[in-house]
Amino acid sequence: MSSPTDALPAAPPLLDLVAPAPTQPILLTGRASAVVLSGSGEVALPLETRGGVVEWGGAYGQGIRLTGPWRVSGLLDGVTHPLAATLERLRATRWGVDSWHRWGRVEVHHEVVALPTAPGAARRLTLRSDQPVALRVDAKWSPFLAPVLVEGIKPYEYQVRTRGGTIVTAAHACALALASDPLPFELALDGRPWIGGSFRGEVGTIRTSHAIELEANTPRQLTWVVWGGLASALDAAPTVGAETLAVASPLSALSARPWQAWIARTPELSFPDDPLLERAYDLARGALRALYTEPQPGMTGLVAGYPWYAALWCRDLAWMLPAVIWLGDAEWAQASIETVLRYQARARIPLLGAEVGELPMQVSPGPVFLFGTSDTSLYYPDLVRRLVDHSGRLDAARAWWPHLRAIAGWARAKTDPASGLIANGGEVAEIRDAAMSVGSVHFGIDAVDTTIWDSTDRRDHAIDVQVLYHGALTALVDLGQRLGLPTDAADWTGHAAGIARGLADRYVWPEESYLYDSLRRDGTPVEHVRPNALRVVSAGLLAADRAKSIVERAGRPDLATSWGVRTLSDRDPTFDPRAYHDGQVWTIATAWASDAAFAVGEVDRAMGYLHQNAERIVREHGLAQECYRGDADAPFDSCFLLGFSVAPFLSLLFERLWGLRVEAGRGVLSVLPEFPAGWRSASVRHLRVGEGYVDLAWSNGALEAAWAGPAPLEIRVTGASDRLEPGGRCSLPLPGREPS
Amino acid sequence: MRNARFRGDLSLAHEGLQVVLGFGVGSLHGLLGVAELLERSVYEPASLRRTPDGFEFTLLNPPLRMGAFRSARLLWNGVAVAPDRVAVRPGLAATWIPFSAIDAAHPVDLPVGERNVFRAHPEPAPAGRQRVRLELHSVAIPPMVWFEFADEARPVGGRT
Repeated sequence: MSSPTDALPAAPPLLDLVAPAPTQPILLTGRASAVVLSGSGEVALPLETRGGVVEWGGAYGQGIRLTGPWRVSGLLDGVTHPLAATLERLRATRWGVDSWHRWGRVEVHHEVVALPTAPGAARRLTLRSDQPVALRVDAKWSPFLAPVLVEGIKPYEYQVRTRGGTIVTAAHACALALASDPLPFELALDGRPWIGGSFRGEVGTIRTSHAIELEANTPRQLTWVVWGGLASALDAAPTVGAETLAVASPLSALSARPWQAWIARTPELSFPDDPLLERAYDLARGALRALYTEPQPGMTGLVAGYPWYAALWCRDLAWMLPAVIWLGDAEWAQASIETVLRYQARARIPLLGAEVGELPMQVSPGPVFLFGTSDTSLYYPDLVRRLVDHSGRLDAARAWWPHLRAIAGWARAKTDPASGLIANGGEVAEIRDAAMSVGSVHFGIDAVDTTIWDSTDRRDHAIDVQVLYHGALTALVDLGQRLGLPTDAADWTGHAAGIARGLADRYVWPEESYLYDSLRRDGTPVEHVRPNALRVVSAGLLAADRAKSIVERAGRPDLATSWGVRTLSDRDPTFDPRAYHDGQVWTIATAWASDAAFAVGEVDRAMGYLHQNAERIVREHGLAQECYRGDADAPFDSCFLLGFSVAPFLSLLFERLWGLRVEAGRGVLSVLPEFPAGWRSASVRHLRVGEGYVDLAWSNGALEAAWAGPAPLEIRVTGASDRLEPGGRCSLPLPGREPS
Repeated sequence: MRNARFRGDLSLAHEGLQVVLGFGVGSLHGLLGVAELLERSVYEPASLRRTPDGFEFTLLNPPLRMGAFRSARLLWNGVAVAPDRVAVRPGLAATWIPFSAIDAAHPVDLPVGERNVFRAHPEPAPAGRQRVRLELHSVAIPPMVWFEFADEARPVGGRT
C-alpha cells in the first residue's frame, strides 16, 4: 500500500492537509463531469449559499447534479468509523484527491477522481491491516438528478432499479448509474433493506454495504463509479462502469494525462520579482482549465462557476474566452463561440426572452437555453476579432459573419433613436408575462434589468453596456474590412462615434469627478458610484485627464477596499454589504480597476488591485471566489470558483502587464510592458501566435525573443522592431521603469 | 378571458414551433422537461388543506431561489395576510416561524429537498379554488421572488 509520501504527485498539490477541513471546498472536473468534496476527504460540502447553508457535495454529470452527499464509513468491531472524521492526511491536485484515514487497525487510502471524458466520478478505498480483519463498508448517498441551472430544486420521487451489478436511478429525464467492485451484499433505501428489482417512489438515501475480508498485510480495494446525466446519455454509455472499475491504481492515472497535456501547451510565466503573481498565474490557469466543459457532442465551452453556476452562461463565457485564447487554446475558443452562435435566436420567442439575433444567456445539455440579457450578444463581435488576431485565420469569422450581422441588427432594434444609446431593462418582465399563460403554478423574480449586475436596477442605458456596444460596432467594422465583405461600415462607424461622444459628454458626473452609472430614457442620470464606469477608461474613450480622475475616484475607500472593489459605494443610500450587486466586493470589479489603472499608466495602483486578486487565488488554493462581503474580507453568497474571477486576472497579465498585442494574420507581436518600477526581469515561454510559439525574456534592459513558427514574425517594442524568420532569435532594447 | 387564454395557447404553440424550427425537437423536449420539473417540484400537489382555523400547504423546495429570506409575505386570493397570521415550518425544524418574526437579523432558511409547510389564517375565504401567492426577499439578492398557485382546499386528512 502506498504511503502519503510515496503518493506525492509530481506537481505541487493544491491542498495538503493533516486534519479534516470540512468546509474547505475541493473541486475535481472532467469534460462532462465534476465532483464537489471537502477537505475532510468526504464527498460532502456544507456551504453558505445566499445566506443559508446548502449541501453541495456530490457527483455531477452533463450539468446535472447526480448525487447529493455521498458518505462512506467503515464498521469494525462494532465501531463505526466515518471517513470524514478519520482523516490523517489529504492531498488534492486538479486531477484527483488522495486522502489517508485510520479505522482502528485498518489503514485506508481513499482516491477520488472526476472521469476525464464520461459524465461521472470514481472513488476507491485501498484497505490494509497488519492483522486479519472482517470489515463492513457502507456508502450512503442521496440521488439528486436535477439540472444545476434550476436553482434549489431537488426531486423527491425516483425510479430505482438494479440491472446486473448496477443500481440505476432516474427522475425527470435524468438518470444515474452506480456500480461497484466488489458488489454490495446489501442495499437499503432510506435505511430499509431492499433486495433490488424496481422501486418507484420517494427516496432520500440509497446505501450499499460491502463485506471486506482483509488478510494480514494484504491490501484489498473497493471501488465505486457513478455516471449519468441525461437519461438518453446514460443509455448511450453502458460500459463506463465496467471500464472504470477495471482501471488499476492510481485512479488519478485516468484523469492526470489530459491535464498535464493541456498545461504543457500553455504559456509559462515567470516573474522573479513577484513570486506571488507567478504562483497566482499557475493557479488561475489551472482554475480556468477546471471550468472546461463539453457535456455533450457539439456543446463546448466553460462552466460559469461552481457549485451553482455549472452551465454555459454565455456572458461569463465571453469574459473567459480572451484568457483561453491567451493560453493558446484557440481551438477551444472557436468551438465555444460556435456553440453560442448555434443558439442565436432566429425568431422572437417571448417565453425564452429571445429577440431575433440575440445570443442566449445560458445553454445546458438537453439542450436547454434561455435568453433575455441586455449585454451577452454584444461581447461576441470583439471576441471573434480577438480570435482572428491570435489565430490569423479568417475562415471561422467568415462563416460566422451572418451571425455577427444579426447581432448588429438585434442591437439596432434596442437602440434609442434619439440618443443612439442601446437600452437595457424589461427583459425578465417579458419572460414573466409570456409564462403566465402556461402551467398551473407560476413563479418569477422581479428583476427589472439584466446587465452583468442583474439583481439591481440599472435602466435604461447602463454605462458598461454602451461600452460593449461601442466595442461590438468597431469590431464589426474591423472584421468586415478584413473579410472583404459588404458591411454597414459607415453606419456602424458613425454610430460608434456617437456612443463614444455620449459617454464622454452625457455621462459626466462633475460632483463626483466620475461617470453616471446609467441614464434613464429621458436623459435623467442615475447617480450611483459603481466600478462599471471604469470600463469606459479601459476602452480608451475618454481624454487622459478625465480618465485619470475617474481611476483616482474609483480608488477612494468608499468603493475600493483592501480586499477588492465594491459593486457600489458604501456611501450610497442603497448600499448593503451583503447585497449581491449593491455592495459586495466582486473579483471581476477588482480586475476592471486594475485594467483601467494600467490604461492610464498608474502602474502601482494597477499592481495593487492585481495583487488583491492574486492573494485570494493563492489563499483559496487555486479556487477564486465570486464575491465577498462589502464590509469584510469574507466570501458571502459566493460560488467558490467563478470563471470571471480568474480569466480577467489572466488576461491582465498578458495584455496589460506584458502589454502584448498579437496580430497573427500580419505576423506581428507588439510588446509594450508596464512592469513595476524596480522589476529586473520577467519571461513568457511558449506563447502561441498563430501556428507558432514565441519565447520572450526581459532582463537587463533588453527583450530576447525566440520564434518557432511557419512564417516570419515581427517583434515590436517602443522605438524598435525586428523580423524573425522561423527558428530565429533577436534582442531589442526594452528599459525597465526606474524607481521614483 | 377564454379568448385571452386561447390566444395564449396559440402563442405558445407558435413559440414551440419556433424552437423546433430553430434548434430541433430535442430542444423543445429539453425545455419542456425543465418546465415540468419546475412545475412539479415546488408546490406539493394537493397539499392545500383546510385546518380548523385556516389553511395549510407544502412547498417541496424553495421557489427559484435557495438560501435565507429576510422577509416573506403571503397573499390569499389577492389579499395580503397579516404576518402574524402566517407561519412556516422549514424542513425538518420542529418549530413554526411566524412571518412577523422574519427580518434581516432573523431570516428564514428554506432548505432544498425538504418539505416546507406553511399555515395561514387569512380572512374568511370562500369555498372552492384558492389562489395563493408567496413573496420572498433573499438576504443576498434583492429582487423579490414570488410563487403562485391555485388549488382546491382539501379537508385535513383528505387525499383528493
